[in-house]
Amino acid sequence: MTESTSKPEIKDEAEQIVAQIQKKLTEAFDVFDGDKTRSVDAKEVPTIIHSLNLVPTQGEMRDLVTEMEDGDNSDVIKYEKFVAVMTDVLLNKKFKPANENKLYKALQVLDTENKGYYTKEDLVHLMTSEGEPFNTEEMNEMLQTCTAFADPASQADNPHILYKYYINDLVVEDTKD
Amino acid sequence: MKNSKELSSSPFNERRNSCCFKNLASCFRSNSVDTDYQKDSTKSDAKTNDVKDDSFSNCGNLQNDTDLVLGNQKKNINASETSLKTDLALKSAMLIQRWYRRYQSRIEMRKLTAWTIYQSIEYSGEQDQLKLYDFFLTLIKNCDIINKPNELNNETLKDFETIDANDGEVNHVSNEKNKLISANAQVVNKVLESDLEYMKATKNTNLRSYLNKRKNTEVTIESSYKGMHLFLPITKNLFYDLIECFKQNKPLHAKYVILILEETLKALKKLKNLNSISTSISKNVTVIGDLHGQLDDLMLIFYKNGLPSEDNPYLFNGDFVDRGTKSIEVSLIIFCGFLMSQSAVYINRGNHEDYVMNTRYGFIKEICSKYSSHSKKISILYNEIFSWLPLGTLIDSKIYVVHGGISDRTLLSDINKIKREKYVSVLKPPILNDEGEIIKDLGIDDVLEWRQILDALWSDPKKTPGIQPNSFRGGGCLFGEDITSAIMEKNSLNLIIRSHECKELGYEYSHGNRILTIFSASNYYEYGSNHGAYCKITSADTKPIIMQFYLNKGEDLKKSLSLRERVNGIEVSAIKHLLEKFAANKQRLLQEYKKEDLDNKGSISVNNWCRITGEVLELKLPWRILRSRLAKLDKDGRVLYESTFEGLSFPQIKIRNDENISESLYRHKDILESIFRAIDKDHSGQISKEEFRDCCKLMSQHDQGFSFSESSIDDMANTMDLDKDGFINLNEFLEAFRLASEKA
Repeated sequence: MTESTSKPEIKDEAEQIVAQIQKKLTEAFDVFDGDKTRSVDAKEVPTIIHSLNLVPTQGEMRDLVTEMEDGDNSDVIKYEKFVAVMTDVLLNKKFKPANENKLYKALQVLDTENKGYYTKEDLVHLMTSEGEPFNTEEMNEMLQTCTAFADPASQADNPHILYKYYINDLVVEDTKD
Repeated sequence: MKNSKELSSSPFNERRNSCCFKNLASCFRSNSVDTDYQKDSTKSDAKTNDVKDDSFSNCGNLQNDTDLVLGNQKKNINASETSLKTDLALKSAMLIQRWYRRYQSRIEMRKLTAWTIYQSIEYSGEQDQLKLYDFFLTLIKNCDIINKPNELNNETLKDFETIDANDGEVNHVSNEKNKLISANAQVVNKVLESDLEYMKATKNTNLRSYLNKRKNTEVTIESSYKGMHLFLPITKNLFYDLIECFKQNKPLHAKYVILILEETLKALKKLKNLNSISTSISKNVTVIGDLHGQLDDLMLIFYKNGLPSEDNPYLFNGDFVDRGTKSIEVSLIIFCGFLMSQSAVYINRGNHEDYVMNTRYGFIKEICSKYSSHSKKISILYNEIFSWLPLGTLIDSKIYVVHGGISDRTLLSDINKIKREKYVSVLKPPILNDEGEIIKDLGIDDVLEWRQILDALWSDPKKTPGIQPNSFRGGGCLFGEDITSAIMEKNSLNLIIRSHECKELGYEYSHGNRILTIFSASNYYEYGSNHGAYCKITSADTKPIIMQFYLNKGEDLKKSLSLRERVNGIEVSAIKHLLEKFAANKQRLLQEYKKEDLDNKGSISVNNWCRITGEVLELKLPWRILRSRLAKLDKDGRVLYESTFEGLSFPQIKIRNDENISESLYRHKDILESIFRAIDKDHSGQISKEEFRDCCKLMSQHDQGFSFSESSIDDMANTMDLDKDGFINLNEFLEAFRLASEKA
């Protein structure tokens, strides 16, 4: 929809990179711009940012959204503001996720008894009391999906979630693009 | 079946509810809660969930500012007895949470992308249908011009152009094209004669004599008929029997269908354009949105909310036909309820209660297949009923219920003055006057009157202020919150309830809770795509009670789908729809891709691939995001454009090995089907090859998107005549087009 008409002569590499970044941003933004008014609901912005493969903290996230706000109406974020703020973020490679080894290490750190798995209760405890806790919905969603990675030897009503497999599910989305 | 309140993922993704990200529970559970939790931790899953919910609601220590989390680790440590809460543990947990949130958001993105695909394909179909209407309109005009060549009136055409230009619509008919069509119009004159005859007949309200003339046989009941019998008046018991009959999948005899339709028509004629409901006696009224022939959804609503009665009245807000497979059943139940008591069932017209839409979206097809020998009579009765359906309803004078919405010129008093029955289709202004003659001097007043209806049935609300034509859909307008405020004040309203748009939760509030969208067809795009919802109004001053529902497939009654499972399902099917588009445009796509592939390596840049794909398929979609599901990359990150077509083929249509012809047929199969159904006046499912060919030739002169040389149209017609008997059998033809795709 908002695809910029491609300029035939892009001068240098930097300009080209910016153009690429903005195409990517535009496309992500448009997906959430349901009524095609070049604006999105402010509540959607964190999802767009996450979906661009960025992992700011909740605090950083709020700062980003605040930066995009446009004075009178903070419920709606306009396309121009979004692209301006996010181009800077992507150009400076901010909020990039760590590599998946770190994720695996993190899962190991929390597995203090070196069991190699978590029970549902473990996960609920860890994810809702530590760090930037999940709300009910996030937690339910995680519990629903992670059981697919349970140790088949464990009981169905108390699945042992093998995190070395589960981790693949969390990172599989990460295609290079 | 299950009545789940929420199915969406994180509160960030909460698109409608009040939940915003301040209460994004940066919550720390207190020690006591921790202990409670551990105590219960040995119990079953279901119990676990309950406990978990409790522990969430118990956590008093809500902190908004997550930065505090980092700064106040001491507090954390104090609050906890476990040794876990070290710096490392905290960081680890945060890392996992951030990864998880990213993962969830990507699923959310995939889900919305799939929705975008469904919606774009749905709306581009609606636009096609509008173009087709333009075409028929031009044909009808020209037919008359040929009959009375001296009366050619350019003013009429000019009017059209001015209006279209005002709205930024550009699909007007230029005079030059018009001449071309005039020259050919004689050819299809005979095709359209019956159409005109019908339209005139209905205008003169001679429908009965017209019908009798066409088919003067009484419908008789064969002795083999085992279904239910029906007679007037429709009592409560008969109404319940009918519901039971359809629930058990038993058909109703054509004689009774016609009986219900004729009675409904009589009763509808007595209603105003805008009708009123008062909650003073019944104390409630239930509003149902789009059902689109999904009988199971209606049954579920009746099961949960009770059957319609004077104490439990229902208002059906349009679009109960098309798309689903049980439009006849759904509409007959609604009509019978209405006949049982006009204080039990109220009906508004939707944009699909329109014969031009019905030719494409399945209702005509359903009538033909279920009542083949009486399909003509039944479909004419339906058209007539649709034109007499009320346009909107006021509840306690304060809540305006209408299918689409409003525009800056909406005035309820004006809507009430319209002769609604003129609008057999609301897609264009009426072209026949009360005497059944073609209107030569369509004035601006006529057009404004028509716009009132079009805006009511086709409009959607938008986030930003102001008003603009609904070019995305092709009809009605998009209205902003300022328009809503102004119109509500002018008409002293509290709330507008409308339908018309599929919503993930089945409902959505917009414009500061003054617009409520209610959509009642669950799993509309695909299994798992959306909830259905209905709402109960108890009085004009209390907030509507919204009930969501979700029809589960038989096997997994207990288990609800996770977001990820739902997304996988709807995504697979959305991609399949897209692949059909790719297959239908294969030659044209490859031709364009190859133009960019200068050194013939079979690959082009992602940029070019996205641009070309969007241009050729005429779909504005997030192609960069979709690319990974549609085409492979080579090691340099360039798109291997032929990889999309691997495993895609039409199994049956391989006529004379001419891929181009089968492809154009496939590409235009919807519009060809519409043309076909419009020509096939007696719904025999057969038309002569010549009729079809002539009509396509005209169509191709009229619409640039449908431009073929005469020889390729001849080829298409010959191809469609599968058994070479000079006639085209539609069902056979459509059957041949089932795309087999190994990918999907």
